[in-house]
Amino acid sequence: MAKNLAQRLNNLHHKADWLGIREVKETTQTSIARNGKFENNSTTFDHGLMIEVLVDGQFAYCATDNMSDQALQVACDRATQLAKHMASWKVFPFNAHHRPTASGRYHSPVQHSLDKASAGEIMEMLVDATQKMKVSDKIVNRMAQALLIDQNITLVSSAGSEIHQHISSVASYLSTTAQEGTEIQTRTTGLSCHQGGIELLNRERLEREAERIGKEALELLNAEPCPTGAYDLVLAPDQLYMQLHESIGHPLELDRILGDERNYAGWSFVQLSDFGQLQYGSSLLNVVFDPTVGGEYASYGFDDTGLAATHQYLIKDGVLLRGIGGIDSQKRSGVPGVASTRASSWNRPPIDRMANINIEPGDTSFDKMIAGIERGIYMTTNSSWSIDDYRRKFQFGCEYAKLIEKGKLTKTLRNPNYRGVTSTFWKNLKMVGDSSTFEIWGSPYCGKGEPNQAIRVGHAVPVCLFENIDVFGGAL
Amino acid sequence: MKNDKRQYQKQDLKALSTLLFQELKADEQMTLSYSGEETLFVRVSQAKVKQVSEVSQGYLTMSLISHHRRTEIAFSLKGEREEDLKYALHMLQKCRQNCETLPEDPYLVLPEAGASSEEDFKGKLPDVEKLAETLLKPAHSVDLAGLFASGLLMRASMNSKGQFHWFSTENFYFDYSLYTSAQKAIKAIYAGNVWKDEAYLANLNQAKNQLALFERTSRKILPGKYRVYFAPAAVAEFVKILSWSGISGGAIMQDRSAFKKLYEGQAHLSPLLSVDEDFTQGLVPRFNEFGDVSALRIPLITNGKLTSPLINRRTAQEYGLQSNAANGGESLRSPLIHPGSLQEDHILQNLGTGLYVSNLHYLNWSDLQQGRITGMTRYGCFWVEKGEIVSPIDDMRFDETIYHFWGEALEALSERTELIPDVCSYGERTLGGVSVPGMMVNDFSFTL
Ligand SMILES: [Zn+2]
Repeated sequence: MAKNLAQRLNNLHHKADWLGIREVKETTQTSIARNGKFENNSTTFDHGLMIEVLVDGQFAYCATDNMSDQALQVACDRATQLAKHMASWKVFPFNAHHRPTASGRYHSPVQHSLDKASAGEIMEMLVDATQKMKVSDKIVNRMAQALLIDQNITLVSSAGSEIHQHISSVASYLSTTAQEGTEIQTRTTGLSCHQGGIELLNRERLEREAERIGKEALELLNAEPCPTGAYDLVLAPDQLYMQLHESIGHPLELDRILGDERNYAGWSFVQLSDFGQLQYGSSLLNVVFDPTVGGEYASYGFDDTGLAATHQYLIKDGVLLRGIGGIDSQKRSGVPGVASTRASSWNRPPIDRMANINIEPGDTSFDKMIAGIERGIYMTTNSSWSIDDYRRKFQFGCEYAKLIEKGKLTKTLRNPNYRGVTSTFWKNLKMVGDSSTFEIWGSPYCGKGEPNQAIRVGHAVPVCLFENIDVFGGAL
Repeated sequence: MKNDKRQYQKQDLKALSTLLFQELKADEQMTLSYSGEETLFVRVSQAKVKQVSEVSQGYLTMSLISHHRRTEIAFSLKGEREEDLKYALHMLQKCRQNCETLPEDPYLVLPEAGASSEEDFKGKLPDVEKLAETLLKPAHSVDLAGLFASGLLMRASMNSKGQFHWFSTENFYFDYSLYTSAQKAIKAIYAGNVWKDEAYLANLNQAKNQLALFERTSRKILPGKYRVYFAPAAVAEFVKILSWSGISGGAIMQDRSAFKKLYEGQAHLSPLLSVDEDFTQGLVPRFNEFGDVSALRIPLITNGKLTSPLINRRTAQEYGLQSNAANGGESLRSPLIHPGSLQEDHILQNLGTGLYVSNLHYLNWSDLQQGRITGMTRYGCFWVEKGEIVSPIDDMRFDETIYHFWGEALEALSERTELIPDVCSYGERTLGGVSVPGMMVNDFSFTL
């Protein structure tokens, strides 16, 4: 496929200083079951090309879903025109060295390809999972969902790059709602997402999880409300990954720091001069960009400019070292970055994105962490999230919590929330869980960019303890 | 835009869908929906061009019903008639294969014979050759960030009962913000179907003049309850979140809506508040993906009471309700809040001492069942004392229920509604916008 596309690139008539073509072919299948019945089955076959040209120091892009040679030439000419029209107003003069020449391949770790299960087989598994959630008459609504994505990206350039990547992923989500009188509680599995084949959609696991969340939804009906006050807060990986995403991932994006996102996603409290200096969190905090973790949702070999992706420390021993930004932003800012210029699909130009952004495990076991807490709260599974455009003031809600008293997990708590300010929050990190607490999470829907782009990100994190956090319950 | 527009026009779609419907077997029914666009995007940072791109795309979604089973496949139409028909027939085969393995759909939405419609809104878009100069030359003295988008948007719905609906519009927007050296900002947008240089300059100059107010030192506001005026762009954010676990009939019936209490009469909103779906402005198609056509106006909340949630035919079947032709997601497509009596030039005086909030950011339900929302103030927000602007403020986090700020705490709505265009562009450009007045609220809770 890469060979063929490279050949087509060579056949184009153009006067660009550099020319790239990125072809994306993607199949997305969504299946939903509700209350023991079929709810939806839909598939999208998406296929298109993005042409990128460099003319007069200006990159310009033209996207088309018509694969003919003629359409490709039209897109190439159009991109060239656009670059010329904009070049005298460019934000930065780029040159051909700003696109690396690379060749290579990447494949997700797949045992059985996604098309090995029929639409009906997947639906049956989901229908059965919703049946398992019905652990009581108080369970009033049950939903199960699977999202299968198979993506092929081919990138070729006039400098000789030839990259092919095949990414296969599965996400699943179970949700159940229990009601008694006016009290309504929803418990979910969180959106579990991984790279791999259809083997990730495991019937036993789905049914086990379905039963668990059914029971926990019931438990929440009679749980005490989460108290208000300053507490030691233990965050499970299925909440901590959102905290990491919103208050470390986004503020470290170089394009945000450069101000490109101010009109939509927002700015950042981090400044260019902070790299290499800023104490972002306590010395226990180690954050990495790692696109090489097997099975994590945003693993890849190369970003969409062709830059090879490698493991890098963003924050080491609490100190900020590196930004989340690809070549263009690195050149503009003079700050070290990572291979993270990514596009949501063929119809959008690539921009600075997160990929796999992880917190490295520490050396405290879960039991030891809880045992050391006099009065605290353990929160699991994100249900609500919000943060300001500088990424300072956040508020999160979780589905399920436990009170920690004198070193033991005791009562179940409902509607737990906490809020805080990024800089003090990460400095209050007091313990980092060991590798037995480390879990892989992620999201298909990180939104950013103008025009808007939703992209897949991965976050692998251990359980962590934060001291003196402002915790509160539901509305009165 | 490109002169050689190759995206599907209505005649091509009619021809393709007719051929597809002819292929259906006696026990098969089909609904098709189409969404396409040709868009130029110019992204601006520091009043310079950060990125420029143009996209040409069109997707056909095929929904096949066969033996009480249903499946849906979406795919690109490439603009080559024969090739597209061949591919569409291949997709029909795939739909059939899926239907064979799937269980029955208990709440099928069958295609219905009905009236057809065609609407085309032609526009006059700015010339791309001089676009950068037109947009940025008058902004040379300020720090500007934003997105310009322009082009043709197309939507269509066809079914095997012979119904055909088509909607197209050529439009543009320049959604931008201006910044002071102390990083305080003003948000603005110039949008429409017919570009006029003078109108853009007037829009930009107004924003520049407002920016001057932000050169004053910013004030830190302590958490607490404040009297607040929310400008229309801020009110629009509260309206948009209602499309998410709010106004959907299905969400209410499934206990995942903040409006469940309102629906069941356990809570009420202010008699000042009335909300409609309003298609009279022609900004969005009145047909949905099932081919159902909405009434020109659907009263949703009338004087604080829930008249009707948004209900599509699927929800209607499952719960025995009356459909009001809502879309698949039962989300708002063209919402309008009725204006009130607060005069525009008395807003600051009426506010007295409190906060003037022009924009909000990152709203989320913090307690869905109780209708509590958290979010942030954003861009040009002020502290006002005795009817006079004192200073800009540092951004504040709020956490407050709709039953409070749209309930007893809602004091007044302003006399004029403003259209806040929807500039969402995930996957494709969104049509329409939110028409809302400003609102005066007492005792609004800020928490951080
Ligand atoms: Zn995100």
